[in-house]
Amino acid sequence: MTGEDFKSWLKVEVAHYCCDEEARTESLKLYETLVMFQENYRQKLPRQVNLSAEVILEILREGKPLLAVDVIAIPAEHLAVIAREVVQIVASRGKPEATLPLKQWLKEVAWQNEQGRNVDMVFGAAFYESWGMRAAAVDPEVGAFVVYNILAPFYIQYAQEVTACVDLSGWKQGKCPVCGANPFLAILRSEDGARLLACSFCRTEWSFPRLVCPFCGNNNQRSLGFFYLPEKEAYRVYICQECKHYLKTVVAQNLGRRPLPGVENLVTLFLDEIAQGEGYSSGESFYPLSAGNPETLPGIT
Amino acid sequence: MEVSRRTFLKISGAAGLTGVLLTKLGCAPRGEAPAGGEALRIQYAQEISTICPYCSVGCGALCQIQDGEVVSIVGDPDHPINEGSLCSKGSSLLNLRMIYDPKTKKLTLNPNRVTKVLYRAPGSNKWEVKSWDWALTNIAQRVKQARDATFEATDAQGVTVNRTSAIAHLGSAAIDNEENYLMVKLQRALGVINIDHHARL
Repeated sequence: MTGEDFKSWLKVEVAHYCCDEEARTESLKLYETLVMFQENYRQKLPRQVNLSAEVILEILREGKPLLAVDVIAIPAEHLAVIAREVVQIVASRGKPEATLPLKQWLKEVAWQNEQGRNVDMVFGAAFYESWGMRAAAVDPEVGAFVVYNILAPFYIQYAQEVTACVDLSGWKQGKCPVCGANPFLAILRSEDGARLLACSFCRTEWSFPRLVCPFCGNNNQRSLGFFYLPEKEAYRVYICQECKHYLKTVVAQNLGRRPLPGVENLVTLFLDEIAQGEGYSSGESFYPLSAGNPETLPGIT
Repeated sequence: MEVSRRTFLKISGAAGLTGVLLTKLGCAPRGEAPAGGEALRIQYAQEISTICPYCSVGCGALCQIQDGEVVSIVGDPDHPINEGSLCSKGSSLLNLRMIYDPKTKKLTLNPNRVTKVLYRAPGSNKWEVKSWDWALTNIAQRVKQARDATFEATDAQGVTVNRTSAIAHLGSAAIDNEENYLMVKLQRALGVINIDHHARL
């Protein structure tokens, strides 16, 4: 899919749901504005992948996500421009008490060239400290969101280049073959019911068996299952009794059109609430975001 | 399972726009749960894989189980043979057990499904319900009677054959290698020489 096709698709989906329920408009518009900017900017980036298709396939055959081996070079000049725009977008729609520290942080941050790697290394222990967000008293969750959105164009561009030259159907793991993140949403394809997992970070989609938990590999059908709301049959929440993680899933056939994962995630936040009320936790690997204060972030003291 | 309707409060653990984050930014959706009533009913379900019993292709299928009852059967997308598809006959697998009742608009047990041993005596036009023990004992006795009455130890030339031509065995297309092995072993032990299968749909 070209960048233009993606942007058209995003506009249609956001308009559909904004029309559907007014209460969602603010969050959907924020998402749309950010993604539109990222999509436009990523097309200005230099080529990210320097590996041949053979080398990429060899890395995948070894069971490693590409970015556990390869490195994305992230030039400081791009970081500065993207950061300014992302903060501006967030600030234009967010409450001042949440966004003022961000603006302060933007004034103080000294950009340097970064080397992006897989998700755990990007967000692992130190982003809050090393990006100077603690010093600027940025809320850790808002901070992680901003970092994620600043880095996303590089990872999305990298993933687009990979998927353009390599068939990922041989990848059989629950984590993203490109960046190593856990999926945030799944889609049951209309044509055959196959499950596609979606990465929220680099937007890669890859197929994965329906009767296996992508988070722990449990394939005991008795301890796997899902729940749904009878009035919303387009959505299911797959659960694993072993690891107690859940994965929101869109049944494309019931939805009646091809789902756009980022938008579907946003319009199904009520399912996260229900799943967590039922005792399950999201399997996403962006763990800094799951913490409410910096003291509980892994590796930050 | 009932969940009370609440406005969006606390959701954690996602990379993108989460509930907690949206709340902090001041643009959280209000009353996110779908409209229609004060309580949301959650329906739990399981998916169990199986093999279509109809023919020798052996397509994979996924049964959706709710409250201990199968409510849907679809092709298994991860099965290497059919990759999610089912033929027109396989697509009706659910109707082996459940049928759609147009009056109640609900699935109901198929009343035509045979779940007990039915026996029709020679000359009779009525079916009688029998127990499995009765059926198996009778089958064994009749097989033995037929075999003993027609068993040939040698043929006209005096060659040992140990056979009976009074019994024929028709196998199933839907059973596996090991079951086929055992069936043929039994028939050979009995001296049955008319052995065939029905995998010719």
